[in-house]
Amino acid sequence: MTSAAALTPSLVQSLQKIVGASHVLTTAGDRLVYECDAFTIERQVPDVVVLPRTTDEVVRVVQCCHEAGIPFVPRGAGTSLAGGTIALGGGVLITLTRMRDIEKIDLRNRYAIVQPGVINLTLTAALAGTGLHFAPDPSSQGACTIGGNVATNSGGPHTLKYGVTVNHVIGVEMVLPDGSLVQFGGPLADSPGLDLTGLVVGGEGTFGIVTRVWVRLTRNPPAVRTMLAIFDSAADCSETISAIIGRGIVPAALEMMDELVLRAVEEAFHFGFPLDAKAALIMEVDGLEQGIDAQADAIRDIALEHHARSVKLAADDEERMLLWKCRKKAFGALGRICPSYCCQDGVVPRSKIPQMLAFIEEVSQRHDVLIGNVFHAGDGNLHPILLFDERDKGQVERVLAASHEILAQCIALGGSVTGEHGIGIEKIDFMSKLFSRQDIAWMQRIRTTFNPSGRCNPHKLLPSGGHCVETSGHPTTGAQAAAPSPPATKLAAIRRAT
Amino acid sequence: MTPAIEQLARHRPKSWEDLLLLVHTAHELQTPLFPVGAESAFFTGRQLPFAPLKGMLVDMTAFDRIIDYPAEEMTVTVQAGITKATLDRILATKGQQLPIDVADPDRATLGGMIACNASGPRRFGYGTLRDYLLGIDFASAEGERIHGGGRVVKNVAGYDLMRLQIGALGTLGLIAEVTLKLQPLFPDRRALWIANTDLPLAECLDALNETATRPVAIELVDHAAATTLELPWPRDSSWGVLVYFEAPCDTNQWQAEQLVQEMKSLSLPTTVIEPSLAATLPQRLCAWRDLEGTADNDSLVKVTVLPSDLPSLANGIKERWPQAELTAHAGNGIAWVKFPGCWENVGDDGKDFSRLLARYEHSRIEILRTPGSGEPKQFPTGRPCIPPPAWKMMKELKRSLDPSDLFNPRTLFGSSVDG
Repeated sequence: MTSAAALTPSLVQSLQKIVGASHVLTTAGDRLVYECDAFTIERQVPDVVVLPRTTDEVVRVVQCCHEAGIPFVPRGAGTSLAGGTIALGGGVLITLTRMRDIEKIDLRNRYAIVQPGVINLTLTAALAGTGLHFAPDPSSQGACTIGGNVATNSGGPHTLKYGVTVNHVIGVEMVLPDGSLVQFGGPLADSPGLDLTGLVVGGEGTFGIVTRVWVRLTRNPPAVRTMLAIFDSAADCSETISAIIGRGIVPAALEMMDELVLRAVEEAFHFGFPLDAKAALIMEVDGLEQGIDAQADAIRDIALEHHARSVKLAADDEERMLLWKCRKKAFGALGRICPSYCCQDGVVPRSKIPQMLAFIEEVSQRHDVLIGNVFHAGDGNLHPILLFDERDKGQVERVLAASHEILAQCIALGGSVTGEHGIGIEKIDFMSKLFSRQDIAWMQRIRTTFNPSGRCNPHKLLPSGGHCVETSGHPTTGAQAAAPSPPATKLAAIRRAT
Repeated sequence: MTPAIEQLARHRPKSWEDLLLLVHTAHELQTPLFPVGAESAFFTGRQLPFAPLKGMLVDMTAFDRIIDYPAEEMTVTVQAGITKATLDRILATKGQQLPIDVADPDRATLGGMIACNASGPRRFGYGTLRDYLLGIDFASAEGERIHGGGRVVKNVAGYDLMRLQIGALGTLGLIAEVTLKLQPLFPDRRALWIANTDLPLAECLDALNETATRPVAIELVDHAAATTLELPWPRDSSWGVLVYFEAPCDTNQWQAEQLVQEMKSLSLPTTVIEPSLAATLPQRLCAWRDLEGTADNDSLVKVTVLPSDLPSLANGIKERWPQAELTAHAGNGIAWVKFPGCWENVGDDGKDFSRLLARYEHSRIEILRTPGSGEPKQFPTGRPCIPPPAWKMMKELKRSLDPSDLFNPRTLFGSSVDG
């Protein structure tokens, strides 16, 4: 990346003229809100925060940044769990939450056009009663934005059957880092040429700023059966998962919660989970009414074959929604145990889940870190949640070390370090473990083509070269996470470079 | 094989070492490379005439091994020279499938399918290759092995090199190995044939859009195409619609009965296609739409509109050009139209067709084939209809990733990426 210029008063004035002074945040207090996202271990206060309302405003803001040679970072709701929206190295944070219009819903042709700041759940809520929904349903869907979903190629519990965000995005409009506007794809099938829509989804905001999204809408299934299986051993629960997939059954969702998580959600939501259970598995099938009970029975039988203590069918929609609430708000429920958490996002082949859970338990004990597991079992996408108090430097260090070991083991078992949260800052050091130098160089060429100056969301996703280990400053606590082993952050090096 | 292809040196690498050495050598010598499988889609997207002064064919058919098939994971890692038929046979032993239809599965290689973004009728229910590629390994223009994605079903690490290569017509790298997500294989497949008589086509297709069933394909077929496909054609039919189901047997039974009832309420006769014919229909529809399935003297165009606009488009075409033949993915809005003779003769050098399309807010036409003088078959494509800012980005990517225009020059991007 070429050297970044500093923010100047005249640039701030230019930004204020574009979006209005009330939508340019310059005070320390206002900017502090944006110092991190849901990955709270890294923090960097942006130099200024801008909240545009229209594509034209985004174009002009980006043009300003481009002409001034200043980096900029796109952000939605800030729910990124990988630090993808942290303004490392400073610069302009362009927050898209004011761009929240659903511009068009075409029911007959099953697509919608939305601005990037539309909250995921808001879109599906807008479709209530139409027989259609937007399939990607991350657990944060009550807060996360479609733009953020596009950036990280978000998943959620129902990706097992319905796929991830890229399977439901058919076009994007994007402001390139030089301020020019481009559209890839659109409502027609089979866009000719290169699939740049597919490339942009999951690009973690490193190619430009998405200002409009064409999304595919999915028909609601006519029937749903949601079951809860309770297990006296996590191993039995995890073996059930691979047995279900191994028999060629593709449920709509398979979600596992371990003992720690069950206790936390029971305390929060009073579903009725038995507190002596070691694990629970939410098993959901959907489709035509004809045949769905046979499918549900088959899954139930598999769970019982693997020593499930009980398998209960949700009696009605209310019970079903409460069960999903427990799952989707599990992270928040864990706040009752510890003030901070670090959620990992590793993926392993489903048959390796039992092995991986045992490894996580061993890591938990060795590093003396409390770890709960709640995850998309059907995809092999684990979410070990490492609980700690960020005010305690020692705990932070142990959490980082434990996280590193968990992700390294995911790779060793043939998996990946991220199923849906993205690389961001958090997992940049793992890119060289997943990809060769040549692979990363090839990806860098793609990035440079879109982003020649490197000023659009810098220091994310791809290593910037070298594998030195740096220490990180932690402004709010003063803690120095000295990291003799990866993943160390590059924050200090970036600060030195900029 | 055309003379132009015959004149090129053919190399058939048998290993990654062979492949990378070949590409590296070609890079050093600035010799273009033309990847081939069975050549069933060799001319897709190529500018004519195809008469390169130099170049090498890279025959990938020796890359045909299964690398890893953990069936319990419903994924498979396979070399890209494997044919679809071979892959289908292997997957079927585990009750699994890659639900992508091609015209000639005995010839079509996986690499070619990916490069051309092959798809067929069942894309309506199952999606396209875009939804199935989990990982990819290819040779770059510098002769290096490049890897993207992984072997697990969910993975967002790094940029999506899989989707970048799908449909890139082999212009960004030489695809050698891929990991695929799989679907269960349902032995029970049923096809129902709806004869659209008096009902406006739009009403029929709207009703199918709302059906209580869940078809994996909804195909619009005209009389001429129905004859080719050996489908019955009741008297007074204006259109035929093929509806295809894949599900467990009892579910399919219900779906067939349900659809018959729904169509009965619209007074549309619906018959069940005999199973052995039904099983072949997706492939035969692909073959009808294939360049090789088009008569020497016919033009073939692909027209894409929104699904809701397809009925009026189809009727408009048949009204203006009664001799044209038409089939379409009714659920996706994609139609293929065959015209006798050159495209230039289709009404004022194609302008009549443009006037027809101007009625629609969204439309696209791709001229896949038109016969010309000289060579017996010509397949002009020109630059596909891509808006200039997007096209500019695509060209810049090509320049960055294949600066010497090594891979399939004059395909998609024109000569020296100046198209």
